[in-house]
Amino acid sequence: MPLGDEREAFTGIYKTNDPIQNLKIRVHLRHVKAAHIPLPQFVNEDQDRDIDGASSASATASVTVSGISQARGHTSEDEIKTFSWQEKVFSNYEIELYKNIGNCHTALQEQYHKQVITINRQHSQQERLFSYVHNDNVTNIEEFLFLNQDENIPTSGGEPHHNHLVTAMRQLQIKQRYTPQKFFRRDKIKRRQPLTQEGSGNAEFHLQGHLQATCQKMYIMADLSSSNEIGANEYVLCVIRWNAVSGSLLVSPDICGAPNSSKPYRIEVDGDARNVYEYWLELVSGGISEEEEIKEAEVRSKIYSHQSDIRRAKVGEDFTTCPIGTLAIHIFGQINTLRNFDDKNLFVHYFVDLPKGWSCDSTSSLSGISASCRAVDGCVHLGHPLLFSLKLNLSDMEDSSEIFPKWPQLMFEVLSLDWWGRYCTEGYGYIVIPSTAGLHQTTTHTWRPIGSPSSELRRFFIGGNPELDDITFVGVPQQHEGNLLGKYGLLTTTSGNVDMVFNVVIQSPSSVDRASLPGRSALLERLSASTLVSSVNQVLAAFRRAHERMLAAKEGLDLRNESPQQAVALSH
Amino acid sequence: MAEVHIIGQILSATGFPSHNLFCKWGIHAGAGWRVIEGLTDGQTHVDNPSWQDIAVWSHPIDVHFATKGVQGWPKIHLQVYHYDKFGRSEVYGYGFCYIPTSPGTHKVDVVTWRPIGTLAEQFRQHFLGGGAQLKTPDLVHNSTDRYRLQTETMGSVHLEISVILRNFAKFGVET
Amino acid sequence: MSASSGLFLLSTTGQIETAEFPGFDNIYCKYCYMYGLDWVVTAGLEEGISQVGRCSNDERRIFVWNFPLEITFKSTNPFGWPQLIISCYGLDTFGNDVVRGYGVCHLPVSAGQHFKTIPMFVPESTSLLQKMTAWLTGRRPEYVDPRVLAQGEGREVTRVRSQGNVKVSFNIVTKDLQSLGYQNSPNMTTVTSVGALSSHMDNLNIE
Repeated sequence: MPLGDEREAFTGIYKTNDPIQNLKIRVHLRHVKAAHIPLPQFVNEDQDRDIDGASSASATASVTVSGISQARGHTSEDEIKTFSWQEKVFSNYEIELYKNIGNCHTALQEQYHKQVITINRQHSQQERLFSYVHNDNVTNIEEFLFLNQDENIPTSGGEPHHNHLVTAMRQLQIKQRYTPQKFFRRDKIKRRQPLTQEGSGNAEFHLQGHLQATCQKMYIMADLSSSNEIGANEYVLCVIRWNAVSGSLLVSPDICGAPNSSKPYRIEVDGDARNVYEYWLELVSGGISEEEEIKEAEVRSKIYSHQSDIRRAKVGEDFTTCPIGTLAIHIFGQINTLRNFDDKNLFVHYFVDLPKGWSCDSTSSLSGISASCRAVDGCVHLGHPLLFSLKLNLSDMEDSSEIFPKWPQLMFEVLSLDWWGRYCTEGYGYIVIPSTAGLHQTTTHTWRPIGSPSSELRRFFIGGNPELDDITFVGVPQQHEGNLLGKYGLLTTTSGNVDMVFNVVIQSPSSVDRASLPGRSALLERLSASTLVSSVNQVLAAFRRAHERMLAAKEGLDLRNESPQQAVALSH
Repeated sequence: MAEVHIIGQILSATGFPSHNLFCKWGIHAGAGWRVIEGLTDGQTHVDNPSWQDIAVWSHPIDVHFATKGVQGWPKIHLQVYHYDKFGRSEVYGYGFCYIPTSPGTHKVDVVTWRPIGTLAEQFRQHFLGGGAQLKTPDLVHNSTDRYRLQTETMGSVHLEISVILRNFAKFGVET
Repeated sequence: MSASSGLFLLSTTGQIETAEFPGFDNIYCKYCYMYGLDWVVTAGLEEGISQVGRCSNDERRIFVWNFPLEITFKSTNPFGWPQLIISCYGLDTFGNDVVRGYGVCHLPVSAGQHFKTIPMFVPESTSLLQKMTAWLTGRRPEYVDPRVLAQGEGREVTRVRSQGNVKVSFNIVTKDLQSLGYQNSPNMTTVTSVGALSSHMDNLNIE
């Protein structure tokens, strides 16, 4: 079946808020009078043949495959008609039907009768294109189409399989034509109505409000029966569905363009490959005039600028920046969980060790004790908040010999409190506060010092254990000097883990241009920028001081007729 | 001013001793922060899982803050309650966490604990329910007086939080 | 639609891939979007109903729909970020069409490919007698409007039962979000290119 020049039928989904009455679609219908069954033919190497069919290739392809039809030059036999939205065009069959007043039962049919008798059409094969609009008995058509035409059944072969949703949707569409439409405003959900209700066990309620159930339809049809029959072979060329609430327009098959520039859709009448029609769908709605377009763009930009002004007024403009020459580092975190510790009832005692150059507004936040918590499944949930606002003074750092600042460390001790009220050390650990901005989830392992086996037994039965004198021993001790850090001589055993979360935010005086720093920016670059700024500021401050001194010295002079050089010489 | 959008969901909870849980949540920020749009507290529905041992809430969070500084970054605190068949609710856990400071989507696990009383109170709690509750709920996210509490470990609540920041880079803040 | 008008675009393509509902069969799903007042749909379909799927016979026991999602929004404000609401329905033993689960999730905030597993839950009747009658008659409690799940309020003390989950994949593309000053992902790499397209490509974030 698929030949090189046939177009695949996809549904085009469009969204528009323009009035639907402006929609116009032009249909070209052409009968392909090929006396033979078209076969794919191989093309020469000098012709580009790509699968999608660019316009030049398709033109040549159609020449090679159905060369005979092209040779017969059928522009005179093409039927071209332009349909606008819900425009009712009568087929020959319908003309015959409605001419006779006895066939008209409903008000709509009587109206058609009046329209038909004013049409004086020659019954000719040329008038094959017609349309069914929304008010016609559409569901009958769907039933008719569904059962009689192969291309409209979703699956091929055998009888069409109706599941319960198809029946429910059809019933909904019938109901929708006779009941007023309910518009679901997407931003308003009624507050007073109850949240839940009893379902009806019926798929109709579940499909309600769906755009398939509330759309208006139009069918562009062609009567492709042979000359002695009328209305025997009606084929659907295009189904157009429009949902006014959401502004969705579905055209199936999609618009394809003018006959010279695109591939057509094919219909084989009664499955007979010798009787083939091709058709093109073209969108010819009038465009918007230029001045209207310009006006529309102006109105749009005015609305948006007004809205952004309102938002800016609500939000405000100022922001606290950190002073020149410092970096402000904010840490928001938690001590989350303790795992795999021996004892059951644990708490944490921690403090932050700040190196030189660092300062903190409220030193009380730098140390603390958490709540004591009983373990479940070896896991203790503390959730203790950590909140540090630290400042790093960069000018201090310049004077010292260090190139890179030392980062603060959080040292902690895990203790247990048992039923008798005894405290016991469970573990020591430390962690360097992360230096890059972002979210960090860390796990720290802890250890605890052990003495002789007898002291372990004592710890188990009576309690009491060796403790560290100086807790900074856990990291680099404060009294440490020299190059070698030796902790040899201390016997420890492994204890559990501590999970912590840190959110680090770094603020510098200069603005950060994210586009120029791919990935995470190196702190060193920021530091050098800050120090540059601070050194420039120092020079400026020195110049300002000198200038003020000069002005102060000049005040005591009499400046009537003296030349500037003399005045300066006098001041010195 | 810089703006922060917090968009996410309180997804589910695991590790609690029984089913039929709901959660009360609230977002707190410091003094320099202002809520422009969105709800900063709420309560989820009660879920009784039939399939896995996960209480599913899928409760949406959408808040828009404007701020003058980095201090007082918002934090979310949660209270998980158990709703029994008589309609009583008892506290099953308190928890809190800071809203992540870096932009993007983060999966956050908030661990919860609940305070326990004396042995007699625990005995009564086992049979009748109820139990000690915090008088001042801001103890959950305040670190100063925590050492007075004796607590026990409860389950954890899973959140998925996406953070969109605006204008922080302009003021030299790297997040 | 330039950055000076304060507009940014969010475009997503994806699919509702599979679902797991132990104990049920013949399930179809319906999706819709809920978004804030500052958001407008510019292309794509806002609602859809999938085919009716049957459970697989092997030990995976999954339903496969591969139902396409394609939509583009434009907005001036990230507040009210769109949420996808999925409702699944199926036939019970008596032939009634009953609800099997509701689920809600936000569209991912950063560009790129994301896979989400959305857990599903149904409203539950309060007493045992109501549960029995609901099971017999097929009139089970359902949400009047599933879009209420996208709001944070109004759901206190309603009881639900969670059963099943749905797996969805998203591909997100944003335009002009970073040029308006918003940061929505930690490592920002902007697409740089030369030529006539560069002014637009700079604002396009695909990853």
